[in-house]
Amino acid sequence: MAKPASWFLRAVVGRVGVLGKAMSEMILGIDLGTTNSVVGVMESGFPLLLADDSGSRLTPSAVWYGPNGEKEVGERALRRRGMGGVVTSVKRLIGSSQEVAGRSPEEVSSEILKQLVRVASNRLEKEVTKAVVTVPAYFNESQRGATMRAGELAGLEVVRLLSEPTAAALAYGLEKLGDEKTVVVYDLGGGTFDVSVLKLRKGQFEVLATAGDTRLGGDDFDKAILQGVGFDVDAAHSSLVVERALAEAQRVKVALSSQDEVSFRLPFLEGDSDVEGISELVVRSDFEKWITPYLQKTERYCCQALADAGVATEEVEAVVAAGGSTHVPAVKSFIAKLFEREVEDGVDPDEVVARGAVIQAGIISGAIREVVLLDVTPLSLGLETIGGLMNVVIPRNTTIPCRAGEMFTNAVSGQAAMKIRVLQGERELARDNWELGEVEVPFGSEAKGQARVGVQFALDANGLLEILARDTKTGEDRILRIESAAIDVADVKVEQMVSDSVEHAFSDLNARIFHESKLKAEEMLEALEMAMGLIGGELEGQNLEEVRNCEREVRRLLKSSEEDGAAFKAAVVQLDQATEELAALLVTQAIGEES
Amino acid sequence: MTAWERLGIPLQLAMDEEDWEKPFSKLSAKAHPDAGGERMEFEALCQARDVLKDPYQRLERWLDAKGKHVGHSSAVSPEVAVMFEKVADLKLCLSEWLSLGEKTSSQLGRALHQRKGLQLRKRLESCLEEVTRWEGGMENEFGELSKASEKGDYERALEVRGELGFLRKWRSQLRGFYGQLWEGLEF
Repeated sequence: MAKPASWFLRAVVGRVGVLGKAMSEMILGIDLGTTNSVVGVMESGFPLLLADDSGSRLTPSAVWYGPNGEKEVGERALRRRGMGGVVTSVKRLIGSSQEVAGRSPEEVSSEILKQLVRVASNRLEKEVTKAVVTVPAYFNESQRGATMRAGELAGLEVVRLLSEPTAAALAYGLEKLGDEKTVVVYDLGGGTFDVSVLKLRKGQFEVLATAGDTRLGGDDFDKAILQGVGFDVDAAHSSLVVERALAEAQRVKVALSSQDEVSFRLPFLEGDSDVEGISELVVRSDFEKWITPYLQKTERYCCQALADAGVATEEVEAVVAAGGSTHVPAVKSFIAKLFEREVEDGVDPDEVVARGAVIQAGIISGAIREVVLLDVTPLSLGLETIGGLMNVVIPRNTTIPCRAGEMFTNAVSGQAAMKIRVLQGERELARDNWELGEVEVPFGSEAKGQARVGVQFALDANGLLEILARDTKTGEDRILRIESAAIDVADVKVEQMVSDSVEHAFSDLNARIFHESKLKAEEMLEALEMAMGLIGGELEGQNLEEVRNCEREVRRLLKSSEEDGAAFKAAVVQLDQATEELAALLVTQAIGEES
Repeated sequence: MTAWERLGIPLQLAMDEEDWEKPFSKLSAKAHPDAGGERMEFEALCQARDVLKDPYQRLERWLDAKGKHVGHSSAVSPEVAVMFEKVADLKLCLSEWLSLGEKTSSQLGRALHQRKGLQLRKRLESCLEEVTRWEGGMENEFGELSKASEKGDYERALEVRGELGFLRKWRSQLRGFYGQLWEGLEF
């Protein structure tokens, strides 16, 4: 596993005064991944990744909680998969209020961090208390804040949160110091996707733009495999069965990177009656088809990042792949096609982010002086204004650290304070964005319109927000406390579901089904008419007849006085299925017209 | 301190990217907190660069530095009026499209919706291209404006500033629409 750091040797020797290094303090670099985590440290001017007792440099991001308060982390936790109590991919939940195994995501993450610190302390034979920790570039404020807290819980001072693709670019670019280059980092990990566009200059690496999705990654590939082999993830399986199924899907996925076909095997579980054994051959080309929608999603983020950076595809001079999911051959060829150039080789996607974290730790500790990193904030930051709109104060892709201000005044005489809602996101309506919380802007006792308070939004180099209020008379700044909104996306979804069900509350199940089907039928009949007018002539005779038959049945039941919910629903579903080909034709034609 | 002073370069209107990137890169590498610099100093450098990057802001600050304070003009050119309508119409179409997207549940309905979305994207892209081209054309005039100013003539510069203001706003609006459209598009 150990790879000689020779490439780095070439890059560093002669530029780093090794003697001067003894004085700089020790800061760890940590890649806290969805699936695996890695820790390293600068050692005599080199980024060194540290292996645990078994010689492995990748620590699985898994924690097992036993029934009697026992804990295991990493490989040992993973070995208990399928026996219950194993938490994996906790990074997907960080920043939300959702609990796993009765614990907050931060708490689970802190166990992983503790393990990494243990590995480092054992190797280095001394206590280390500071670290640079990587986060997906697209992490928002609460996900970043939660990662900081996980560090605190692990007894670590997190001196910097570093974006993962930026870290990868740092590790890639330090070797080629001196060349001016526009680089794209495509970072597809276990649970998150980021793409960043960077400009590498002598002495300075600058992120121009970043985009991504904090809930898209290799985990989705695993689920796609399960769906492909007919394992219903949504069915009421015990968490044990799901754990085992996911582990098997992951194995198949990894094996498919080197084999053309692999058997998915989920044997019948004794005492578990809700699942029959599955044994299915998975062919690589099928797997590639299943993951295509996810890759297409990443394409859109790539286009967005390039557009935001003002860089055309042909101006990109290197593409670096990071994250375990870029091992998949289909992903690699997808990237190559997208950017019209091969992915840089000689970069280990599993370790490149950790190496970057270590290098950043070296920059902060003063061990590396030849380069600084300029990063950006991934999401726009703003306030809610009258009418429920979002007023952007700091636009996305602004270089951090940065600050921007707004003036506030009192609306009535003697008003003590006003509340402002702080938002993060790209949507126009305030409610569609992520609410970070509220701050209270204090006023004096002046007459209406006389009090003036300047409120400043300051993002530090971690991308973390601080809000300052400046009294224009005294010129004094003070930090305003952000009262957490204590809601997250998951909660909002639940609320939405609840309110939806209230709106359509029918006492009678049959009436409800009939009503819902009716709405759908009306929509479909209208769409059908329009689609037929557009391209009906291109439909094969047999399919056309099927569509027409289904249509007749729906129309008959729509008018029928029986109001049989179940039969009506079935007819509507059948029509929907019959029009599949027509729908596909419509889209293909539209895409063809466009290009 | 003006943006030019902050970056240690002479006041000038017609500039290439390298004219601000070079001094910025040199100064910010030292001013960055990670290199032991002052955060405020670093932020001021970033702000200065942002001003010069944006042709509208550069022109406005340049006029400022020349002591030409900008009043409000009452008339807009016909081209501006046409574009104004175009952007407003796109916005309307987009919000209609987005609200319809939430209501479709059938395959056929979704396909028709995607089709409309793709057409909308095409319109949006051509509009964005037009705005960008227009902005570029205005920026190409900067050399002329600079020369005219030597004779004390700022009339055209003030006009250009007005139009660039609109263009800048439209560009950011259209970009925003693009992002919204993307959220609803499956292809």
